[in-house]
Amino acid sequence: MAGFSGGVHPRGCKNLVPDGVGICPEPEKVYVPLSQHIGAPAVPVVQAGERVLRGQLVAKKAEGLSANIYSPVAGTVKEIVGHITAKGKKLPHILIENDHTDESIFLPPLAEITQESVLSRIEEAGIVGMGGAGFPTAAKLNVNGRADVLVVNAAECEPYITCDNAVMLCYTAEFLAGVRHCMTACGARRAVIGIEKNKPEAIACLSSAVSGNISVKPLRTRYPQGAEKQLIRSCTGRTVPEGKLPVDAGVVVVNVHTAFSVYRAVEENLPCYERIVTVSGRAAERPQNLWVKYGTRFRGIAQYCGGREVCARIVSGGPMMGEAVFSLKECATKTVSCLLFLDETECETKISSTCIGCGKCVQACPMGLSPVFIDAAVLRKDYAEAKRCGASQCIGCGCCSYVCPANRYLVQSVKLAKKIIGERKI
Amino acid sequence: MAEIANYKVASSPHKTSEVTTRRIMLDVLIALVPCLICGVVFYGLYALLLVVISVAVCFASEQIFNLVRKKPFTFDLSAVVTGVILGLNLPPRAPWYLPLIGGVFAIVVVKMLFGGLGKNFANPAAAARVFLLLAYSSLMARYIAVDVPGNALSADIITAPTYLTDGIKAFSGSFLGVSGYWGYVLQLLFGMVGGSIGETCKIAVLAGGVYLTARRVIDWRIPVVYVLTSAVMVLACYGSASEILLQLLSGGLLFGVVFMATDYATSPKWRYNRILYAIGLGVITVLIRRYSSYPEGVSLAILIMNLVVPVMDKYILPVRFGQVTEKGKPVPHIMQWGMRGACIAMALALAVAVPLVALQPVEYQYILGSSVDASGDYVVDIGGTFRIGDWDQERAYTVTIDSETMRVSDIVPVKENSYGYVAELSLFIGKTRHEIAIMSGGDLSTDAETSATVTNTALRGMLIECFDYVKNEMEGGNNG
Repeated sequence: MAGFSGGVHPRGCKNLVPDGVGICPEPEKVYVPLSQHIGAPAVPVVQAGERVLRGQLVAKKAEGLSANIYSPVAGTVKEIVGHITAKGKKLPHILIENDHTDESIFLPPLAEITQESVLSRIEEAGIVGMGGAGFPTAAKLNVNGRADVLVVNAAECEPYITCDNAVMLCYTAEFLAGVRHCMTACGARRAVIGIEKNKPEAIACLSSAVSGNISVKPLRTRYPQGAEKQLIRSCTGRTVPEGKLPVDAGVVVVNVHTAFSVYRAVEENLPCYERIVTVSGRAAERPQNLWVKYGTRFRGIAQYCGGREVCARIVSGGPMMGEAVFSLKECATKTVSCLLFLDETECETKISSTCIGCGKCVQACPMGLSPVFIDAAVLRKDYAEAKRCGASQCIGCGCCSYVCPANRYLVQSVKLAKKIIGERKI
Repeated sequence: MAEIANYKVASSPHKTSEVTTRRIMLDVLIALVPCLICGVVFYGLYALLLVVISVAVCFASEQIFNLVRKKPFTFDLSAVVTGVILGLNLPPRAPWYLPLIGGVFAIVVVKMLFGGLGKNFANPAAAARVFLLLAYSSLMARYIAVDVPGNALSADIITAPTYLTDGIKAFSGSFLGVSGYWGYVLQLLFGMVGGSIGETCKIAVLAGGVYLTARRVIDWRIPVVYVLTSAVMVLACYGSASEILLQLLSGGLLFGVVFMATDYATSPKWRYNRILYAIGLGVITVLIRRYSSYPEGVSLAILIMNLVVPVMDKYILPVRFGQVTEKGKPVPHIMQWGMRGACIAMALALAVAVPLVALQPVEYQYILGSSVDASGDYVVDIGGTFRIGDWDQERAYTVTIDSETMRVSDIVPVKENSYGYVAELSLFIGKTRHEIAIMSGGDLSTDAETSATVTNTALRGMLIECFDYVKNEMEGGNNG
């Protein structure tokens, strides 16, 4: 039985969000970050005072790993300013003042659909991995035929998030077309769409729509089913060796929304400047899935969805791996799939106590690490021992901290160990 | 709209499970309640008093230790759990100071001196029980018979036998209308025998175990594999299929399996290490019961395996997802498959060997004939040929075994030939099977000549067989 050992089963909380996708109102000012992806920040190609249209290139990809950035609104470029990002650093953003004319410009239509043309269109449209990692998709799909299977990550194992589910239900045909284009781009012979069983509508909907070499694989509802290596094991039975990439096992993984964006770029000639974001949590008055333009500040989303005063924590991403938002000035980017407004009952601040040695973290770790021993090693600064216990293979899923009855900061310890092992080359 | 202002920042994960240390300890306490109720019903309120003293002492000594060490008080209920388990491990008529001494030893010496909750390397309750067993061995044997209506708060001591020390004389003839072997099994299952307060009623223990497993407080692997290994070991060491159920259901085995072997701090963390640990526990328990002079091996086995746990945890690490060797090959899952294979092999061995052993007609080497005398005692004629002093010599005796005490009451020599090596009959008279079986070469040497020892050893072997024969006759079956 293919699958991964460990994992946890947090409550889904996915029914807070109604069906359908709304549209977030365009803000007066958008702060378009130049770095929304892994790799070098894009290089601005517009000057202050220049008028740009919706869908116009405002920053060009730098050398190496990078991605193009397009304007989400029509308006005037005010300046290139430093603005805070989720990491806490001030990084350059392009400030565009919206003139609400909504004049738009499209990419030139593709003459023919070939592997090269689709790949170059994906690169041109600035598509990156929209599940959260933000790896430029063109670089990922350009595998020179080394992959025979395309795995579509529709697991959406994090609680609350439903944006991929919304794409699959509302844009079924478009999503499947996007999957085919991704297959063309990477040269895969078949595609497997892995969906957790807690989304029966999406499974039913896609099962009736797929044909040929695309198949739907219902997966056990188990966090982190959507983690890349675990998903590949569940969908294809293959194991990606440590320190290797999925393509070494002949697999390429793309996210649902990425495939959908590929469809929009290839067939609708729309570059990547907006995405569907799940807004949820008990402190949000109107939880919903929204089309959000990149550069919209979180305050705008909070106002549209009615963030309540009881909000105790704002999380960008899912509750298991998402980052806490420290300022509503932060902006939506290509990788923000979810914005959670959690109240006190949903994110209790717990005080850590003594380890009772129950070993629940060892059973829960999907990577087969021993968080309890890594934590102990980190606390006595023995990083060699932490590495021996496998700290450098941590995927940061947080299962260990989730299950710990003593509320110990396990994943935090392991991530710290991983960082220090990497920096000091232990 | 009210502005969101009062939000905080924290590292992911932002959601955690509801399970807390105190909730886990509370679950263990809930699981212990049936055992406690049965203990009180069977052995009277004095048993409850012992448990209460034990809990109070454990809790108080932990807080006093905290006070002395200037640490915050701890209210995680773990001391209460230790107290209840230790109390339930005491014999029903232990003097009141045993739980006091045991509680202080368990909490202060075994737990707090090593760093408190989660840091102790040995199970506090098991260590305290073994300590009391060594220090107060006669007091720790104050087992009484179950007397449901009669004993309120009396501390009267009418010592009753247990199966492990005295064999089947611990049982009454029939129970719930079932007599013979299955009657004994039912008596053990319902706890109608002598034993420690909490461990006699197996149904209550099993109910607690099922609750803990269902609540996912304990890992089912430890109890299941422990019991499986013990069954195989009993079959191998005793060579008897009927002995399996009697051994598994007697003494503290099930109680230890559910509540003491699964202790968090002192059991391994990885699930396959836990299987290895449980196999070790089963093997050591049965070896101690069979071949040492202690009738009860569970606590000792748990302590011994506790010492191995840190080494197992350190050197047998889980195989990581996609882990590769230096040559780039996937690391083989030796522990996973090894442990699974061992469990399947043991289960298969049981499934095959039990019917084979049970169906095999019992063959006796030395039994010549037997009769039951007027008082119900067994008179057995035994005899055989042994090589004594370089000659094959015949020996035959008539042995009387008291059917109530299961002791040798008389041995009459029938055939002892003239070379003078006569067995020392006084060595054996008045002894039980267990006492005879554990006699060593030194005990059997009554003469400067080795031939006397050989003669005594031959008689010992015949007597053991004689006991097995009588036991089998009393169980009324041919079930090995």
